[in-house]
Amino acid sequence: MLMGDSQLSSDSLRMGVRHFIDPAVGAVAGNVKIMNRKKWLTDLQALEYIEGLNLARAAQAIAKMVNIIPGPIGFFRKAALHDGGYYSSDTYAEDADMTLKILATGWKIDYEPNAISYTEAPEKLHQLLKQRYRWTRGIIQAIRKHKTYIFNPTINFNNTIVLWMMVFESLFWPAMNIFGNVFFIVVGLIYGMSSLIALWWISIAILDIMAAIYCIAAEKEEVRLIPYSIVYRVMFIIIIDITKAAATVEEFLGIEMNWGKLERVGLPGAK
Amino acid sequence: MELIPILSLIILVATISTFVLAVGAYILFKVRERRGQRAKAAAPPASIPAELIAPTPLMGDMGKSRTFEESAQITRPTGGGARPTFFTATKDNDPTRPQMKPTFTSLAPTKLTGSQFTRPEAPTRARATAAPTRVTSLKTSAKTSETEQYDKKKKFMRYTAEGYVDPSRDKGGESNKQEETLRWR
Repeated sequence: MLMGDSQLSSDSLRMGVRHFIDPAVGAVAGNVKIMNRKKWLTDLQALEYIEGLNLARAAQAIAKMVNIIPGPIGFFRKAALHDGGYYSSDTYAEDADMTLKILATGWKIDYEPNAISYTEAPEKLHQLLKQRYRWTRGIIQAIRKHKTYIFNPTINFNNTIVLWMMVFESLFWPAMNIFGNVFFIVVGLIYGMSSLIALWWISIAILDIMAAIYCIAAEKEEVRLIPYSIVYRVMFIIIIDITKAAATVEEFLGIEMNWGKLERVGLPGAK
Repeated sequence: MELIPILSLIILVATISTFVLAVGAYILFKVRERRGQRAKAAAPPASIPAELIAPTPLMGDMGKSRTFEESAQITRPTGGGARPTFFTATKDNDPTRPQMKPTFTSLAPTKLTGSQFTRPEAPTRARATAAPTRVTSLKTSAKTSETEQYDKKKKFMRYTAEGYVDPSRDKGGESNKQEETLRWR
């Protein structure tokens, strides 16, 4: 499966299909990278994809329980797709929904870091928020669609774990991050910024930088992306998490939404 | 001045401004989305790059109806010479022709008054042995439906070599039938 705005690297297919030697593997998630870099917003997204998405998938792949097969690159066994009932159009994150359906039927899902797909990222903040808004609501829709598995681990234990991870990522984590930052502001304003809080913040920033160095080394990515990890922590994540939280509230309120259209500038290699 | 308080101030200002920026960006995003939706709904595209294919207007749509004479004049398009018309009878010159009317559906049944409806009589002892009476003894009103107004005689005309004849008048039919049966024996 490949999205129209993405390009594969030369070894992607060979690297991806080799996992199907294991008859239990029903699908393989590929490695998505940002193509249109050299802009501060797309560079931040490039770091996010490396650190936030691919690292998490690599960890999930140890148990062969990747929770989202990304739209830009995914390999599927035909029988797994058939068992899952193919793609549905009742959620705005059909890739998450399809992955959950495959996991529910007992198939395992692996991750291949060398199957790379270069995709185009939004270059404007408005477009980025639109994308994340849709992702968040789509994932919540997919979780709600499969809610039977959340509270009943006897049906499929793997699916229950995966769904709880998704609940944490999409609901609890943004809420915790927003609360932490608000708490930080309030303490700073009311009680004055003590040296302890400043040191706490600096220690978190160092941790972020270390994580970025590790991920960039593991993926053999651009070193220039490392300093972005500070901006990523202070600004990017807050902006994204506020959008996620608002989208979550709107989803639970049942406010109408549509697919919208992301602006594409075209990939340099596609010409 | 110490480094830690300066750093603390920078961090605090950065966090607060990011929060304001994030909330503002989300509000702007929603406003823009709504505006876009309204604009889409209000202004349909001025020109659609497509070929307009419209069906040929039907006579019924134009409020016209073909007369009997016009129908009679219709001939099949021919490649060669002119073919004779299949039916050249006019409305007046052939009184025996069947009426060319479309199929009618009957009108809604008229409301029956008490006098128009008769209950089936209770079977007497003598009748009990005879064939059972039908329950559908319904008096029809003077106003019959359009189908019933249709001339029954012409509706069930029989077509013979001599033209349309009334089947009740076709007295020679019985003898012909007998002849045919005999012949085949």
